[in-house]
Amino acid sequence: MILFGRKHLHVSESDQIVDSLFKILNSTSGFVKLEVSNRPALKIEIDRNDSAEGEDNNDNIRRTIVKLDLLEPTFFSVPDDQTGLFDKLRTATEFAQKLTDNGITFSLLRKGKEAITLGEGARPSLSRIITKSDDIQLDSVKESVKLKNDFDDA
Amino acid sequence: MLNNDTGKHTSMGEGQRGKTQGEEQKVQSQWAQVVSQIMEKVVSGTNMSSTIEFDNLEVDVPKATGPDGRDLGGATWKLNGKVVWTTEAHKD
Repeated sequence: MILFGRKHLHVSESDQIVDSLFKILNSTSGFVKLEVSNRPALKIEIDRNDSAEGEDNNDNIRRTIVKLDLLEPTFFSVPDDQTGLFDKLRTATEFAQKLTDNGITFSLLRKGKEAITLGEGARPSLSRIITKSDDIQLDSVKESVKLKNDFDDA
Repeated sequence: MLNNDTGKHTSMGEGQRGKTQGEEQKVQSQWAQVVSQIMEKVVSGTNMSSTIEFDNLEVDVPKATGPDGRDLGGATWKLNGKVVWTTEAHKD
């Protein structure tokens, strides 16, 4: 896979697929679980809440938290994909910004442990050095590296 | 824009825009390729069984207007249950 600069995962202003995905996420809540060959592979939890912005403001702010737990991470590796996880993160700034703009927090977990958070709920400190983004946070460097190795080694 | 292949910075002038859009399309198709390969593993892996389970999944369907201008209202879909599919390879 060839990288074309920082905006590798480019999301244009009027990307209909991404807009539709965000609309669906913002109107969905609950759990989806995937088992492959009787082994849990993936769990998706979508938690949505509406809260008033302020006492004088009747506009509801919709916030959505999507937790994607890779219970069998090696299953999701793609041998042909030459880009590593951290390369992908560095180039996902536009996508993460758009998540924030839509009030969506996207958490990537490895076997139940939080690894990476993108979007509104991200509070990066040191991870800003790697990603150069306010919308991408490495919750756990240890879990993120394990996840990278799962994808690379499979 | 930094081109990782050459390590050189390239400008985003009008002349370059067409090429850049082409590159973006290529990149997007590569992302789509990654996603589709994962989907293919799940949906059409041979000799395996896959289960997708919906647990209290709620989807709010927004209000809609019918072709005759009639208000169709909104809805909330609730999904609970499992879908299991198995794939077998045969030598014919």
